[in-house]
Amino acid sequence: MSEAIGVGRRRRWFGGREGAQKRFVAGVTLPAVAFMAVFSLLPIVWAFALAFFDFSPRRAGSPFLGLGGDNPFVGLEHFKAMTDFSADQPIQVSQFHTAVKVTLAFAFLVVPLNLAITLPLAAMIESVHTRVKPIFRTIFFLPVLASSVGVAIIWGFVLHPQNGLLNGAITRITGKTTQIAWISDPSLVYLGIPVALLAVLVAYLWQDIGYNLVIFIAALQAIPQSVKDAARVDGASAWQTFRHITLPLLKPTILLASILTMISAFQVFDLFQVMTDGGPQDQTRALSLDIYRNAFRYQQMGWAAAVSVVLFAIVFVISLAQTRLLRNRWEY
Amino acid sequence: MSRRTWTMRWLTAVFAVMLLGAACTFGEGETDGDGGDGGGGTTGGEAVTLRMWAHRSTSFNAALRNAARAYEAEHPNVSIELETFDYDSYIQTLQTALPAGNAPDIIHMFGTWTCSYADYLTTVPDDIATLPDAQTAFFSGPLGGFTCDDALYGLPQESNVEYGATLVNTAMADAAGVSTDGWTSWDELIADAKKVTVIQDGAITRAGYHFTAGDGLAHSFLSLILQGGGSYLNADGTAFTLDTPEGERALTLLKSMVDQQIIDPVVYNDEQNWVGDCYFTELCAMGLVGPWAVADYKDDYPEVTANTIYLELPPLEDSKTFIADSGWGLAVSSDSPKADVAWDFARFAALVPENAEAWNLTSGTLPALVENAEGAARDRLVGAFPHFETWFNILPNAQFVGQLPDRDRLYYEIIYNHALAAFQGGETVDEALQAMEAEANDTFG
Amino acid sequence: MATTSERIGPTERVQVAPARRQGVGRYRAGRISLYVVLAVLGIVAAMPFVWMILSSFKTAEEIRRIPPTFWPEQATLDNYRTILDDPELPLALFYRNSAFVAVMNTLATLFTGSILGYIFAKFRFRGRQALFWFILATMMIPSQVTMLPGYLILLQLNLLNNLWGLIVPSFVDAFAIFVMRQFILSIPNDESSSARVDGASEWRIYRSVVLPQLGAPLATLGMLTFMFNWNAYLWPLIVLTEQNKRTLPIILTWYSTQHSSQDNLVMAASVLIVIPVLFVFALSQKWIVRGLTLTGGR
Repeated sequence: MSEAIGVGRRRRWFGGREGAQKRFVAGVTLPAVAFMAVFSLLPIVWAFALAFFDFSPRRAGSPFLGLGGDNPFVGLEHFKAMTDFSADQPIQVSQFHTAVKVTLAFAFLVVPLNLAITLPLAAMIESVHTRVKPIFRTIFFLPVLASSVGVAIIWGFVLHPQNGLLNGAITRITGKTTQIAWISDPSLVYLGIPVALLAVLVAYLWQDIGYNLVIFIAALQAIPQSVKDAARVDGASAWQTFRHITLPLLKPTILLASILTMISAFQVFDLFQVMTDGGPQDQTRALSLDIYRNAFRYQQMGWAAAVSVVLFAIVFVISLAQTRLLRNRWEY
Repeated sequence: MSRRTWTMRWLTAVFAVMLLGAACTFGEGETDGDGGDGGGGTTGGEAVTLRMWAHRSTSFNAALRNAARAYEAEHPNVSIELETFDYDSYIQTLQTALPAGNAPDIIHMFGTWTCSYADYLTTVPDDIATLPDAQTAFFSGPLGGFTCDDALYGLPQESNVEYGATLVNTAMADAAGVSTDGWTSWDELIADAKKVTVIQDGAITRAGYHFTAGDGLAHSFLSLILQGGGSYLNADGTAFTLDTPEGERALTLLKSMVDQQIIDPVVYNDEQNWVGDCYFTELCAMGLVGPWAVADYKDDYPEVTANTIYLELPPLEDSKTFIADSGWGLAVSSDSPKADVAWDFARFAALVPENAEAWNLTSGTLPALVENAEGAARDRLVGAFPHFETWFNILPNAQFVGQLPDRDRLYYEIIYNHALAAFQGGETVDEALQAMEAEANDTFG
Repeated sequence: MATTSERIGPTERVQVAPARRQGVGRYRAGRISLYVVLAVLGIVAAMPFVWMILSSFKTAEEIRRIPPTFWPEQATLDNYRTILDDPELPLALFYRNSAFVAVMNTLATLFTGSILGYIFAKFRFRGRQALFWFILATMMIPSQVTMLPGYLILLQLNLLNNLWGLIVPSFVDAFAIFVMRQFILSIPNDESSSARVDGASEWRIYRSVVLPQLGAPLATLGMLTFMFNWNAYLWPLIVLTEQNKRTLPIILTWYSTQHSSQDNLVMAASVLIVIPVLFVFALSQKWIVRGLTLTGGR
């Protein structure tokens, strides 16, 4: 057989069985590669390149992608400006610093809170009667299916200071007219975190728990019953079983879920724009929103590209660190 | 198994229906709204299609449509299609479309913005109006924005005013025993505003005087600087001067109104309970917004409109000067293949006194044409909008705000954010002023 | 005992063991509190939707009451009538736009994903490893990084303000390729080999041998892609500037700012735009869920 193949390879490059396969592969991958070169590779390269220019689509540049000319090459100037912590830093730099803080705070809150909710919830749902399980799973999964714009609008109304559900409930319970402006009062800060950001966080968690919930439910289902029974027979309570048997077996899933949750949290845009649009006094101005505004509202695409490079670097480094950290601690 | 197959089949059917529906009717949609890149062509026959863009506003859009229909009646070969955009994204749309060559023929343009788009606009042809002609025909305020480097880039349709007088709900005023004769000092206004404010359990459920929307706040701040004898721009207009004693006085006065609890900027601002919404839904007794708002809301809220008057705001000292933007008008993009027809429409809508007056009547705006602010035209306008009387008296005090590098950013982000921070104690008045000046000067860069 | 059944369902087992060990009483209390907690959490989770639906039936006056009511005092269908009669809101048109983009994207993604996944799984060629890693890497780049140049590229191709501008760049989707490859790796080669021996062309093999076996992952991927495209907001916002071409999420945002003082209308619009697809998606949940568990996919 190998002889035949060898002969085929040497003599008939595009003929015969081998040739047919090569034609097929080439016929599919070459167009795909060309396509990806334009729509995947080029944007990435261009984005990184833009970060070194002062670019605005309104100005004419050289014919090469519009760079140069009125859109001068500025090298590392954008990145240097980002390290400017002096009092008279330009507004876009101070907004950048705020955005980094907001985004990091948001992401580092989302992941533990998400896991703290979805893990127990998955365990609870997993242990109910099979008929009732899909009902609960559906209820918690529905927000995932809704558009994040819809989520932002619904929660915006729930948190409305005068007509919202939350303040209405508080008013009825306490008897005092409550008009707390959850998403527009910059003076509301809880444990150092703006309440507006917490509000967006809650809305995001509400929408997002469905994802991890189904993943954990499936992972829990995959745990052999025999293992749990052995624990039971030995006298372990439900909580002990969960903590010492179930959790360790779930570690790979938890690791994967936490990384994906973290990466997603860095890219949230819709909620930030529709619910608070950067929030009271830039308190919810996440990096994704900062990039969008700088690029499309202020037409500073070079600066926006530089900020997006920083965002990418942050995501990359944190995912790497997370993988290393969690994997090392939980080798088994 | 059968349930799964059934669901699969049902879903496939839904898919197929959607795809069919989309494919079948998609063709129609394309030709309808899309006038083609760069306007309709006129190869051979006379038919001309012009695309016009405007920001979304019920009364403004109605006025533009009426003007379009009237022009089409006189010129049957021309058809004008109006496309409207959210105000918030209108700037962005213009900024992306103009350089992209996607621009429409006619743009309903805000005067103060015009010069930053001058590269993509055509100047008014001389046979329509020369600059000296325009300067005689129009008030200087509205025309100011459309004039860039001594060239005229558009024709104004309104005199934009967002300061000088405030909406007053006479029913609420009477109920609180407040007279509607007007005020001679700010203390009087504040005292009256306090009487009409309603506070329940420490929460302001009805604001006395809403001035904390984006326009109101910026116009108040800059106008008060002028009235205090100062100036917000330096002599050659290359830098902002906001951190001045006059600036401090202006911001302190505004802050005192918040401190006296006639408004809670946390609950009543640009995003929530915006002044127009607030006033017409009776959550505000008085509100600072231009007369166009009355036209916008009157159909939905006739009772409140019936009880609405405008009262002049008191001056800070003697001067009653206030700033005004160069308001909305018509410009023509340089992409338009039918610029001559487009300018003819602009002339028809903005320069012909009867048409301009009709536009003002529908949109509830003050005229930009000097001719329409006097005589029979003035009477008709006041007949339709009684509160115009107050505005006509004030109009001579309006002063064009000047060429601002990024007006919207200055008003709605820089002044707005820092003023609110000062009101809520997040920044001191001095810090707010310094930050405002620094950030405003960044916009020149 | 007989309880060592093959059923993994915990209900069977748990019922037996604790009943013997801890006493029926404690067990019951535990179960009841479990259900109570879940029910409460479920109600809290469903509350925003409930509030949205209830608010859509309130009159304009009632929606502005302070403090707000929960159940509508005078339920009315007027809000829906207003929206459906609104000439500036041709919902059918926007549904069509969203459907067009979502369906085309799904079909394209399913095709390119399956065929490229098949190639990566079953064929060897030069640069296969590198190309695959590249495809994986593109999945890691946040969308905000590439949206700027993406916009500029569409600008050059004159695809801005065009629904095709939303479809063409997504023809080749890294996630789809990844998922398909995973699945195809586990398909045995016997059938394709014998088909080859019988002289079938490679395309024929793809179409008739491989594709039919991909029913489940294709359905799942299809549902996920469809859902993602239907709900997409940022990219369509950047690309589509003309109202007639816009998709539902953008329209909903526009409508809510347009009618910011009329929350009853906004809630009704939200119901009309969000709820119908929830039904569709809820029914196809099984595939979406399966896909998520297989891939952890976002």
